[in-house]
Amino acid sequence: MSDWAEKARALKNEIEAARAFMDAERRCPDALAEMFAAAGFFRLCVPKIYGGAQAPPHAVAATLEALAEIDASAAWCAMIGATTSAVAAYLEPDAAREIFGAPGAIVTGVYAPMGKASAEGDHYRVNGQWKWNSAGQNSRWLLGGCMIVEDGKPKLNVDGSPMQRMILAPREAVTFVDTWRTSGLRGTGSGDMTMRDVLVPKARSVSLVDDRPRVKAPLYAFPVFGLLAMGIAAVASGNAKAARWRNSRRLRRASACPTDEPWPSAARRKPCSRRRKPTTPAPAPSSWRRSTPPGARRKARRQSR
Amino acid sequence: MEEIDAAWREAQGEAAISLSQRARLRLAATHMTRTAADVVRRVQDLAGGASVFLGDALHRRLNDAQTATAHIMIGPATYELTGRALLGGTVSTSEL
Repeated sequence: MSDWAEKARALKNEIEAARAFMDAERRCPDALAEMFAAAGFFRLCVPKIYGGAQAPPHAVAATLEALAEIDASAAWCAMIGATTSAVAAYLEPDAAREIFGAPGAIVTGVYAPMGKASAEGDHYRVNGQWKWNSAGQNSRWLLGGCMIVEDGKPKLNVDGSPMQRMILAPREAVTFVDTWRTSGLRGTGSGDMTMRDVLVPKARSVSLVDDRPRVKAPLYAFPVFGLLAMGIAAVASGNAKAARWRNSRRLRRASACPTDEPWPSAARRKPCSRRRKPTTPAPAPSSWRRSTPPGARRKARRQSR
Repeated sequence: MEEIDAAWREAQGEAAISLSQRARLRLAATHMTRTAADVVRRVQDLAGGASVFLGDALHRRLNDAQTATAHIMIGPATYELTGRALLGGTVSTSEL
């Protein structure tokens, strides 16, 4: 178990106490977001030279999975901030320090180029409305993907593709639109954000395609979209594990002896009669860090049959 | 997750992570997110009627699992994108 996952589990009571607020207000309370920031979750992928954790992907996944076992909405907010924080490695050092350097930094945003940016000297003038801005209202800085426009038309790269950059703006420059009325992940506050004629210094812009990471480390050779996809999967996994473990007593009642386990688990190795005794569910095993060489588990399972 | 480990091993190397490894990572994440929703759905089947009530813990888990599958990074179109990449079709690294 990584220390990071332990840090996540240590916040169980605080997360559960925030659930009523998350259901009613449909976003994460600032107090909980600040606790996540203090624990370091929002800077998991910030380079060490800027004071971040620069944590390897499997540690990021284990943290998010552990959070999601407690609450998927809270974990989702941490996931968006944690994965967005990898952008720090691509920024100019001064901008990276300004935006991601503070210990309490919370930065979220939307990669999709739903905004328009036109160059004005060493600034971009930014306009746009972005959907799916999870945890935006908890953030100090917000990132928005933009098409670069010139004289009202999209500017093109040499290969003919539209030129895109993501800009970072302080919270004061952003208006949030309350669109987040959903059945699931209610507490993530994933509504819209808008920017109107916001002037952003070019140094606070970044492209994951045209720019190379300025910090050389394996974490920044890892694809950022892959990191985000992995984060989503980690939240989904923690949520599903909790659905199984939390409801194991109800499951035992409803179906006397489930023979077809949907998830490989410790319970599978135990005889069914023992599982029917009321016991405290053990913590779900972490699947993020393999302790055995590839194929060994499958082999062992084959032999035990 | 084997694909995270594999991508992480490639990230330690000098060369950039290959397109096929990027695709496998995305495919694994997509599979996991969508399978996780199926698992919760199945747990609900096994658990019976109690889980249909608003405020029930399992009901919340199911709604959350279902909503997570709507993210574009792990959406159904990812199967086409990663399939194209793994079969040698034209895919830009900017998509993966």
